[in-house]
Amino acid sequence: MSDNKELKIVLAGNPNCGKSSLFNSLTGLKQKITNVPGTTIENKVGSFSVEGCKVQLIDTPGTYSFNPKSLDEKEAVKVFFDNPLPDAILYVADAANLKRNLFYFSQLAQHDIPMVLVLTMLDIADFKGFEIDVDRLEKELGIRVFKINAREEEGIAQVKIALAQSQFVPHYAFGSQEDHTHESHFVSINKLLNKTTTLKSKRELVSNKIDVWATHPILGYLMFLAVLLVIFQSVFSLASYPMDWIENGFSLLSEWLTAVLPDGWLKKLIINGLVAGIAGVVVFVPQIAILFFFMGLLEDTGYMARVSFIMDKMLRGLGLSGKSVVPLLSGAACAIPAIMSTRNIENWKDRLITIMVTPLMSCSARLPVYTLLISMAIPSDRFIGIVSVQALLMLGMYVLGTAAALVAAVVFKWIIKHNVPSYFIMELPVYHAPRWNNIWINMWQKSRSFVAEAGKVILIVSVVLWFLASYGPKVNQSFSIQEAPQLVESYAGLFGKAIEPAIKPIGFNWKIGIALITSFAAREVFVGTMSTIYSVGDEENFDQIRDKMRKDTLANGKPVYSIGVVLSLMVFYAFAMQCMGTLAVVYKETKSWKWPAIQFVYMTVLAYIGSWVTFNLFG
Amino acid sequence: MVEHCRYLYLIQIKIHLCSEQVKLTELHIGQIARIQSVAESAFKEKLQEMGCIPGSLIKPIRKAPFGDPIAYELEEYTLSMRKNEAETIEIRPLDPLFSS
Repeated sequence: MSDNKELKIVLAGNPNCGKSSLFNSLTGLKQKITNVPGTTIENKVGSFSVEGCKVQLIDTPGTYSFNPKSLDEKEAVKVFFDNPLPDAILYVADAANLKRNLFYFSQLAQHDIPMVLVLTMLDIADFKGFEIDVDRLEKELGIRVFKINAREEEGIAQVKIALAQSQFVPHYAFGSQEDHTHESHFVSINKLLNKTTTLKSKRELVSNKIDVWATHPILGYLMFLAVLLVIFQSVFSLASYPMDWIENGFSLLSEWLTAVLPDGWLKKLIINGLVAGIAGVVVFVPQIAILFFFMGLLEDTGYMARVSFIMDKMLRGLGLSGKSVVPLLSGAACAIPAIMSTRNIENWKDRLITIMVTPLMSCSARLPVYTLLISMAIPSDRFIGIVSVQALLMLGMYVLGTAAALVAAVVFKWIIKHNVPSYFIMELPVYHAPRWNNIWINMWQKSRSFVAEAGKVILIVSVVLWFLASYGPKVNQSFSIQEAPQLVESYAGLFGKAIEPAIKPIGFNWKIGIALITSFAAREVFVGTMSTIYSVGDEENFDQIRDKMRKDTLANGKPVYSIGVVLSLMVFYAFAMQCMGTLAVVYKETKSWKWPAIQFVYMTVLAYIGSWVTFNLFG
Repeated sequence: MVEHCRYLYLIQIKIHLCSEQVKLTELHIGQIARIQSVAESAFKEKLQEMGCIPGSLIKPIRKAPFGDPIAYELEEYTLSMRKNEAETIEIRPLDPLFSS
């Protein structure tokens, strides 16, 4: 065997077959696995060395066939058309569901590429009374076949060696020379399984017993509601601690930088542009991570598929599908990873509508804005019964966002013309005990994708906005860019004044106008801008900002921030598309500027109308 | 008693012979059937690759609230589909005496 042979091997298989677990065991590389079909977002690459070979292992999203139906399935199949072609395929099949798992295998087996077959989920197969004769299977297929328990790393070394040798092309004839219909392949698979497997007994899985409750017409929804309550309660209570640490850490960092760096524009750029921008991204990571921890838990155990199952009928009427549940819920953390998770929705229209309405779900960046405004509008000691009015209003904002998303979906359902009927043909995977390792990996990867995708955009926009907010043209010194003594005289301030006539009907003045503009980096920048405008020293001190804002009065002595203005502002933040990161991801996912443009326009119009109505009702 | 049993047996055979090709949606929960054909549709290929192939055994096991979608036990796993999709699948119910 040559010393530096490099092999390109593709890992393939159906969703939920334990493929990603095997990938982890083989490469030691961190990689997500999950129970909802098709959540491996992109092909991931890992590598290992065995017998002098350097093996490059490419993990593909779980796929049911070689004829991809959804975007992530397309990604999976693409590797078989890339040059150089893979040297071998490592095919993973769920032993408890071998017939369907071998269908994709039968299609791949025709490509004259050496294959190795690995059987997983043997415990479930055992329980179901399935016996598989591996020797016979090897003989029939003409390739190496292994039984693997990926969680216990049994036999991993043997698989590695078999991969390094990878010389056997399957010789079993699936279908026939002239007949390669799906039906003929299944006939061949049946013949193969009749020779190699026996069914001893049939026992009912615990899964079915759980499903009696999880999909019950009343209890099913109550259970889902209870799960949501637990999740959101934990997100808010748990995330506040790390968020405080992060905020304190960054304020220490900027204090230190203020002391250390030499004065000048560079210092200001670093402290007020870069560091503030990075802080604005990082501060959301705890909330997003905790939400994705729970999403991962629900997906990994298989419960999320049941939620899709019980929600499909309702969501269908709104132009969505059961598969929209995951993106919509993720939208409560951040729209960016949520939109990326729509890739497993097969129907283009269902997927597009989901993408278009997900940003209306109240994401974590809106939370600080709501918190500040609610505390300004409503005294904390006001209660209806035992429920605080502040908490009720916060809940109301979430309901408002969700309701807007659903209504918008109905409208898009009527507008978007697409004649391929939508379908909901989905596997309900067997329930699993949570595989904690995978859930952590999932959480880590989703949070990282938020930082990478949103972070870049938010950082750039922050720096640009910092420039606009710090510099302005001075009237006397013609057209030279000068540092503006106050936000008011900066480009942002001028722009805020310029748009004042447009936002006056909804109750906003030019100060709010500035905040609306700076919020394009991320919505929570509103709070920071307000503190700058009202020259509050401590950036994150809600009480100080709130008090200064309360004292701001109109010419006639009435407060600027009347209840009408505050509510109008909250409605505006609930509906308006103020997130460049989201628009960038929508562009990437729809591959056209048309959809982010439509999204921007419809959400802004909705926000304007919503605010106008609110202002006129309460103002 | 023996007479009675024979009578029952005849009924069973009659059910078996008469069992006609019907749509998958006409099955009751727990009633097992064999797939006869899958009609042309935009999702025929998807149904096929999920294992809805003539000859496969299928059994409705659970309806979602509002009666749609429906979860089926298809050979060795659970597949959920909407009524629309299930209507394109023609099945022949199995004799209850011989089904598991």
